[in-house]
Amino acid sequence: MKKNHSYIQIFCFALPLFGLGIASLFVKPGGVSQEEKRALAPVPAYTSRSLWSGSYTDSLEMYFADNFPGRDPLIRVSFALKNWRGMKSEEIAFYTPKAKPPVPGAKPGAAAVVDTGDAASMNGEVNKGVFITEGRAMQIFGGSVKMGNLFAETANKFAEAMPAHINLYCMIAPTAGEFYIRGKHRKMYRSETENIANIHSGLSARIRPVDAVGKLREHSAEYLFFNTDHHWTARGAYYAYAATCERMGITPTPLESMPTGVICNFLGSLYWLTRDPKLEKNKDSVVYYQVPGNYKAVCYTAKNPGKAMAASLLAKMASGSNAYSVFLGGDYPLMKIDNPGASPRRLLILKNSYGNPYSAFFVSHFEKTFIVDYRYFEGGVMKLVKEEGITDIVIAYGSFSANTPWHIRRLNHIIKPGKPAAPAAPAKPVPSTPKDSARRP
Amino acid sequence: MVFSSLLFLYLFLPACLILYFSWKNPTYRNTLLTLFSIVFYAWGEPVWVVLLILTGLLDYGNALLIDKYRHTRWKAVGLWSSVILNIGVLMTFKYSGFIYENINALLGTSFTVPSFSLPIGISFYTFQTVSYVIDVYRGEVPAQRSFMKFLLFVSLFTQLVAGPIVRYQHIADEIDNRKIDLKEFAAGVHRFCIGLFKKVCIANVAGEYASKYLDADFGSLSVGGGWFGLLMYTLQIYFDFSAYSDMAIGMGWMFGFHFKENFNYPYISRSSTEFWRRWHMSLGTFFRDYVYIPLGGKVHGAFRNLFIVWFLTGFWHGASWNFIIWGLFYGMLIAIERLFLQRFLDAIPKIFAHLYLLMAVVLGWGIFYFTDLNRLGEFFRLIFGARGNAPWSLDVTLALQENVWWLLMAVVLCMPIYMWFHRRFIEGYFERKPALGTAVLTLMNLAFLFAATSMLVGRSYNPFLYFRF
Repeated sequence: MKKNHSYIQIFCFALPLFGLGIASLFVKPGGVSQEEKRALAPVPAYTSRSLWSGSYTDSLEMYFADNFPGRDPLIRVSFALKNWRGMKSEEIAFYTPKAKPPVPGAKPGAAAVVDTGDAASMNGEVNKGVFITEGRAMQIFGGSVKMGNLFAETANKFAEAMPAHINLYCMIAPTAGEFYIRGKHRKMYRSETENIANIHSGLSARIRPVDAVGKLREHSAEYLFFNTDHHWTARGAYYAYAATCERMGITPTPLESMPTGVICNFLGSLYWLTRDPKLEKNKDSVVYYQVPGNYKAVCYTAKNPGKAMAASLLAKMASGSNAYSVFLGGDYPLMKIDNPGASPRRLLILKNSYGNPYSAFFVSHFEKTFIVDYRYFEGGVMKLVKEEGITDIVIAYGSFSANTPWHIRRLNHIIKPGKPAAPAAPAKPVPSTPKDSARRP
Repeated sequence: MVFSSLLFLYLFLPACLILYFSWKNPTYRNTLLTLFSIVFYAWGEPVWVVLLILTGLLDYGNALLIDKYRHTRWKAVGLWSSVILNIGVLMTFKYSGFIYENINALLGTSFTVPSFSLPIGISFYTFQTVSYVIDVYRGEVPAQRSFMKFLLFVSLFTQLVAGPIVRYQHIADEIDNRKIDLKEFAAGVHRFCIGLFKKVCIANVAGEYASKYLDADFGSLSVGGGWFGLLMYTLQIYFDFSAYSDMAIGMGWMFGFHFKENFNYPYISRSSTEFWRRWHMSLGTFFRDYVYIPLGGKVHGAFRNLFIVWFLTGFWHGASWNFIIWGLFYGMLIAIERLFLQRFLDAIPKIFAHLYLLMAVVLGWGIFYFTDLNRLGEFFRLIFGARGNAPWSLDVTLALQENVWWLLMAVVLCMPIYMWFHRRFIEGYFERKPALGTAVLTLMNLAFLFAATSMLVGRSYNPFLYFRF
């Protein structure tokens, strides 16, 4: 081969290497990946200790990978390559969960819609993967009797700590898999219905269980769960609300009476996790309902828990992969909603993101509604109950979180925060590329 | 640092190349390569880089001692102090925990088990320096007078952490005088891109499946899942090791070094003996030249020597009993082949000999994978149906279906298809049609680089979606 031909080969190899290498030096560091809903790795802080321990160089590699020029298009290429590795079943797909710790340096709860603080949920592998069938992605439930018992015991302890006059309710929300993983695939799925029934049987007489599963099952032909996201729709949440109202002895607001809005083309968490083309063809619509009443809402952020900020039950500007944050505007540690025209009862709901569309429906029935996200709230429920004269409490957990130790422990922790709630997030950063994947001498 | 990282590919390597080729002065180039190699090593081992330099210094000194006092007893002192030093370092950092654990288990003692972190590449560089000192002792090479050049030999980043085990005598001339040939540089680029593709697009993918199935709960793993995991590990370990060698050889060509081949399509072998002539050849020749032949080779105590070598080969791969069992497993197979099996394998249709070897190798990797002997035993019971696990599971069907083209490619690339391509096209047709050859090779390089880069970037993709609420 002639000399100039070798030059061409070398030039074409060197060009991307040098080009991207130089470009990487000018990329603005940090930022947030909307698709991944996490903060990208910031420039690591240098200390001599981190240098000698090797964590500084690990963090630098992670920073470099997270802030690589053209990262998003390259990620799309990597998923395309993955899809070309073989034949994707038109019917089903199965994805194993990939547990990774969060990016070091990212601040938990920095923004309401960017949830970077929940790595602790890795303590307890209740999630057995994602299963896709009939254009719908569903997490595979792996909860156990043992975990269910632990949840019931913890809820009972919580109830004991609450003043005797308070009405206590427990609503465990099921997920889509319970209703739509059927037939021969069902054997890989542990029953959420049985798990929730076991929890209910373990609850003390103080706590009134809410049969959300039964109510949802009656309407399972409706659009109760998203195809591409792990949450339920507002309609699904509505039926759980209706079941709770039955328990409380109040009449639920008819669904049809509430004005609606819709955010189209929503691709949710399970799509971004799997990037499965079957889901892309089956985008969701986020339908929201305008709850009647003249209410005023404020929220408190994790960054500034003492300062009330104006809030809304519906953040109608939410769009794209964040469309679910239309409900309550995201996950705030505490929201207070005043509705002076309603009955003089005061409700406290302990929830996670599953509870966002669910909680909003209650505000028309109560003079004051307090929505606490137990994952981020550090203010002390007991203090809140006493100071605000709470009359009713709903413990609203999802079936997965009711079987996950960290989430269960949080219920105890928030009564009187002080001691750390045994955070499960690993502190050591994990390099984006393994040092050595095969066994090497 | 590893070759298959974005930082290495897009900052370290370009910086090294541009600085290297900015001045032709050989001393500058050697100094630069040494400095980059030290940074490369210190990146992953900021503490143990001191150990690398210190042991290098002592081996350098011992070789000079041997060279200077060649006809006196100091020659032996130099040799043995180096051998003891290197084996001592290996024993301390790699094997002390294992030895203490076994003493405690055997004698019921409770010595505190040391817990050193294993310095990366220690098994490779200690063997390189031992071979150097022995070669100087034998008079096969003169001792290197310059410590910087000796350090370059020991620490050269192209082969420091993953081999091949380079003999000083093979690159001694090139340390002082190496010529950079454009054609060879281009060939090095091509070889490097092939290695990168093998590592990132085959070995890493296979590795994900291997760990998913082999680290699974055996209570729920199906028999098919066990075999599938083992197959994936078989692919992973070959593509991982050989990819690193490809990248090392390719980068060597870019900088003017010529390292010997380390893997020669081992899975096409028809006996264990042949397999080990094709697998990790630099390790095999090390044990042959420095252990087997000095012990007497085939002449005195052939089988004893054989088992000593295979015990050491296994032990070199890791401080755990499974590696020793794995080494002795091959020692046993090779002994049986020598006694009678080889004649039988030569007589039967080739396909059966291939199947025999593949089965032996795959089972061998099973032994190699599990450092926990209980788990190893359970795994073998599982894959042979003695645990009563389900024979098959849906996830294995889906994994096979979703990776069928990739799997086919990986299996084909285990065979010498590329050798055929090289002979038929690179050395043949493209020589007559150089423009076409350049276009094809350039596109191949870019495709490999692009695929590997996107997959490396994809590894940092980490959706954090309050997934479990």
